[in-house]
Amino acid sequence: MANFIVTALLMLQLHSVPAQVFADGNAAYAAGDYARAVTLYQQLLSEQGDSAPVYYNLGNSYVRLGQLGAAIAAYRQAQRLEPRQEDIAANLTFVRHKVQDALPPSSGNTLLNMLFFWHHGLSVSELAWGTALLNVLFWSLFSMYRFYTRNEIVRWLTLFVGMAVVALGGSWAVHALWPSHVAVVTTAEADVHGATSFDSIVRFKLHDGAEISAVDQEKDWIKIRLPDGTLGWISASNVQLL
Amino acid sequence: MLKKIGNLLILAILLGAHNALAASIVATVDRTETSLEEPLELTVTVDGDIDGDLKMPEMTQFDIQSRGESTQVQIINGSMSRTVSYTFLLLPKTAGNFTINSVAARIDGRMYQSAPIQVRVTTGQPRPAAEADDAGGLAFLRAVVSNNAPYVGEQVVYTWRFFRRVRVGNAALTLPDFSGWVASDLGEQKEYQTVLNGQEYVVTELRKALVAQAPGALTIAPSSLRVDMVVPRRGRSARDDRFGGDPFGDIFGRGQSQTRVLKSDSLKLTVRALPPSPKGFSGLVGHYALHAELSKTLVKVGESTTLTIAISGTGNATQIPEPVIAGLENFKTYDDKPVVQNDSQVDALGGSKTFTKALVPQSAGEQVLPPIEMIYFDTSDNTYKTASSGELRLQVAPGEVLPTSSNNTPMVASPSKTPVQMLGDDLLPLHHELTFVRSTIAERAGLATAMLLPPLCFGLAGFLQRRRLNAGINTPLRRRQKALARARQALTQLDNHATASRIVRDYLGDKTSVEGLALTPLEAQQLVTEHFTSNADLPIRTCRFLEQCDAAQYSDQTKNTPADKLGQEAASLLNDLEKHYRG
Repeated sequence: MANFIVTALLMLQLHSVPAQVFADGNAAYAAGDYARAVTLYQQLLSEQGDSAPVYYNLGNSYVRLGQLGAAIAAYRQAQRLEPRQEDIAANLTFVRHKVQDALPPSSGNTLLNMLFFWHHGLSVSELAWGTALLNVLFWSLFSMYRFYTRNEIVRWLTLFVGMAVVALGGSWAVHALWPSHVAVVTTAEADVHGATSFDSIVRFKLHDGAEISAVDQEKDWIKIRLPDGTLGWISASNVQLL
Repeated sequence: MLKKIGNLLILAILLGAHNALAASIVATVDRTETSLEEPLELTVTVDGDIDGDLKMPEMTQFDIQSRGESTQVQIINGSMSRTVSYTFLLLPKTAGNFTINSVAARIDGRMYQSAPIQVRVTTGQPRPAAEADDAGGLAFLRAVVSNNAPYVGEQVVYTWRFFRRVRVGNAALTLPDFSGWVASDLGEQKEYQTVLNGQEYVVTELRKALVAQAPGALTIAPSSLRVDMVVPRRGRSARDDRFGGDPFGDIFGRGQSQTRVLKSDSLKLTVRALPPSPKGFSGLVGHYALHAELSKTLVKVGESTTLTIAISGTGNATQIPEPVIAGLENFKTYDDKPVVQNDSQVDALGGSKTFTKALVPQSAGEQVLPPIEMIYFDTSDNTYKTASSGELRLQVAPGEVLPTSSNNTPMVASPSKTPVQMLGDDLLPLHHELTFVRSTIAERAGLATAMLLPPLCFGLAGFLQRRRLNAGINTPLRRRQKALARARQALTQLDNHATASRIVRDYLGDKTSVEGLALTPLEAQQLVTEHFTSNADLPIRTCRFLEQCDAAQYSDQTKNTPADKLGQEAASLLNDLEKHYRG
């Protein structure tokens, strides 16, 4: 009996550790010790996995430390997990106003985003489960139509649900198979070269917080593309890939 | 003639008197408190025609550098006046409280003196043992703050200086981003010369007012300056290449050009939390004054008077909150948009905010507004103080009877609407509810099951059904599914009305699981209505076809209808019945 109690208490302790680390990180932030808050949040993410509130609080801490690029990367990670969370979007907008480079955020074509609103409006997990549930519904309706009744309403419902399965499933597949890579500059200033060498010509410079598309990687160099199509190579040490 | 001479004399005396009355000498400094690191700028303004030079007082506590003079001439109503401003830079040599004695000048034959000026020189921040000298003594950066331990909300002056002994150009400055602070520029960029360790330097100086938002340890990151320096060639001294021009312009390429990146030291500050505050603390830290007045102190009921509250002091004037005003129960009030005036001095950011309210008394008599107060934290003695106006008295006479609105209150004009003014922005606060996104094995298994199981079940059901059908069991389902195919097959053998009637009856029987051959035309019509469509056309058409076939059987009409036409008619009917089958 005693062993059982000890084991139960130990299990309780193990389960409460992430919450305690999170609370310690929040307390460090409130006390103004932002560097310690960053350390604790990062420890939580590496030990426990992805968490939108932890990424969000990490982003806040980076902002207080003046590290705009790291903050934007953290907020975008949080937004990937909770796309409709308004606080994340608000703080991301706040930080983006401070970024020196006038680059639009890499979020794709506005019209396409409106038409395929679920692609960025739902998280990957929500897309997966939505596809699965609609899949069950589709096959149920199709079975009813095929084996039981040729009702027109059932036929149209089957078609509509089938299209929804294709839509959500397609977005899920795009996220899984062709994820969009974004690089965020995390140093005060970064040179973008014409080739994968520090001796090659510097084509332009980017500054902390700039968000650009990453199209290729070669060893320690990342090929980036600006919204106007300009290409260049940037050292991987200057950016964080999302 | 004598009269003319007399008039000219009077005119000259008057002119002289006018000029004599306008003559003056005024001495001012840009600040009254400075440190050993920071020079004072003394400006002497002389109105009138000065005879000779200024007679400067003895100032052994300062090194004096002349910065030049400027002259302004005005001619008003035929009278000419001349103002000359002399500018001097005073470099403190020692700390202490000093008096800059009067500056004297002979103007229009009379001696004039300016008022003496009291100044205070502090020791400031201690100099580092070694200068942050990144360029062999030729150029370096220094950054200092006026207070290493400010309170939250207290203004701290960040001074950045670039010292150089050589010509520089193409400078690119990166200041710290001052995260954790609200930063505002103070004054304009300044340039002057100074002497350090026996060397003469040209100094470019920038200042910012910083206000910490939260207590704790804060570090102001180093600034960096990338600059091209003209390093003197062998045989030329740094003095020969020194040039006090704008470091952010082009250089002319004399000497050997080198690009350097200079950095200042990082600055560590400890921001102290304010002591426990009294109730009603406004949040302001610094020195503030409050003044309130009424535009009219005698009004009638329904007439308005304007209450103006002006709060001025150090700090960002936009953050001054509106004070709470008591005693307005007998008034209708209409607020106007506050007017903010920021005043950026060299050593502090100050300003004023003026609030105006229109007050409309609702009852006659003497109305007394208690003093308007604002509690702020005074950093000069680290105490909370109250800035207060006196009480305001308003005499309200009975007014005229005004037209009333539907609820019997006097009608007054509505104030104009003003847009909401954004005063500041900051991050939204932390989230405190912890959740994780974890894809467990059970979740992945559930997802795979939901994706794969339904189509598998569907396929299995179809397979089982087909197997049952192929087993030859004459189930009603099989009859329904095969009905049209059987009917079409039979139509290929069609030769008379009797066959056509049997084919249609068999089809109906297969579809509705009844004995089709026993159906009368009316029963067939009823069946079609129940199982195929509620549209009256098809059941009637079916009934008529069967009646036609029955009539043809028992009369000699077989020769009149060709078999192929009969077959087409039957096929069309069967297709329509199949299309409209409901089950």
